[in-house]
Amino acid sequence: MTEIKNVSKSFGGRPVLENFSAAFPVGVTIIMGPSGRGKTTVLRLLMGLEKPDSGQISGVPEKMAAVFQEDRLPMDFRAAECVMMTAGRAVTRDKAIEDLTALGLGDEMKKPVRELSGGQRRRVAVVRAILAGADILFLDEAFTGLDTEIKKTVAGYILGNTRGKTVIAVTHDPEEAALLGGDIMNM
Amino acid sequence: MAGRCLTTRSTMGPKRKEALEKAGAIIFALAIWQAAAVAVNTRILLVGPIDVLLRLCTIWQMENFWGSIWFTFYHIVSGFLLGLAVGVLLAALSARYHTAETLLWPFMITIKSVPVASFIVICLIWLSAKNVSVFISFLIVMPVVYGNMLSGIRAMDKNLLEMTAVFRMPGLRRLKYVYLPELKPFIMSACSTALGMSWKAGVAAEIIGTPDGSIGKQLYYAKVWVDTDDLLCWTVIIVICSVAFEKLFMAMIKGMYRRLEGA
Repeated sequence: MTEIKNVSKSFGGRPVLENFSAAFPVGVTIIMGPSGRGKTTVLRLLMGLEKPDSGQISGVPEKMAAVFQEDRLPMDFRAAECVMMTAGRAVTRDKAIEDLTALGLGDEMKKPVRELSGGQRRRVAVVRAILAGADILFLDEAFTGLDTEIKKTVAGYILGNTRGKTVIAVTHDPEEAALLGGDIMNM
Repeated sequence: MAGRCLTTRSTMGPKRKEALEKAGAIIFALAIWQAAAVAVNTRILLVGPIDVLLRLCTIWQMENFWGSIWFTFYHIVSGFLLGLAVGVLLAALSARYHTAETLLWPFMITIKSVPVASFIVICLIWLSAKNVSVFISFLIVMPVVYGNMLSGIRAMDKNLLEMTAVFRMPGLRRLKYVYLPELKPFIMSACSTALGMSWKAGVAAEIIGTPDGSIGKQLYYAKVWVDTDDLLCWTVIIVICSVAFEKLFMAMIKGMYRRLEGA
């Protein structure tokens, strides 16, 4: 189980987390709360992008994937290439195209990502994270820029491909939390 | 009739218009050159473009013409490629280790500020005249590439770098999907600047070192014999070689990027 024990973290002398503890079992855990409570900091600590000032983090699987607040895609590449850049060895290009098409991007395969809309890029980022074949998936406001129907499709796609894995999602929107289900952790 | 003319003008693309403007500017410059040559009326001081063109039509018949071009091309391009490779490697090292950047700093400052002629003379003491143009070309290119690449690495998108760390992307994939695309404008700029400089400095080294069978030696002979026709003719040949190689090399880099991006 992925655990955070008594972790404190401050930025520029401003404390963001103080003696924070949490456990993330296999399945979906949703971290909710207003802005500035340190939700993204928790994810960044788990991803190893920040070091805690004190406390311990344990049980984080080696193979990680994430949908960041920003899409973080290489803009000159096409959607399928963006997926293949982090895809596991077993994933073929056809599989990437199949999944992108399932999320409504079938007509956008020939365009570089920079020519896609914000919502389309978001879906590329989601497929990339899923096909990375990771044991733990971090979702930081993963539904930003998607309309209601697409959100349902994307949530179904995520849930259908992460059985038996740890999913930690950050959101401030109760509707998005409801789409993913799982345990709610309020901060 | 007036209407037809108006239609023709309005449909002219901006590229075609620019090309016509540039062609006009070249014709204007050649006309000034020719007028100056006629006004001076002394071949030793200045020959006009028509005479240079006529000499171009016959100069290729001279002994070792193609050999001279190949010698200079081979040496300068070797120096350029060496400078490119070493500049990239040192920039990567400096970006990774601050100590490396600090240790390299005095060398880079020295190379940039010492006059090329001084380096050429010093190198002639160390190296055979044949290899001086390789070394000088390398010396001019390397700091330009180093500076550009270091700036490029520093300006890379931190978010993308974090993404590669989280996904544990292997080195080659990082290179293909993040480093090379992010560094593209810096690579293009470095190559474009360094290519022209390498030819200028390389030929200067040949003129001072006068290695056998080089364009620099031909230029040196033209100076000794006050043969202005040959001097300008060889200069035109150098410009043609330099521009042709720059266009070819930049096209190769663009082609590599097109393949990389899967276009």
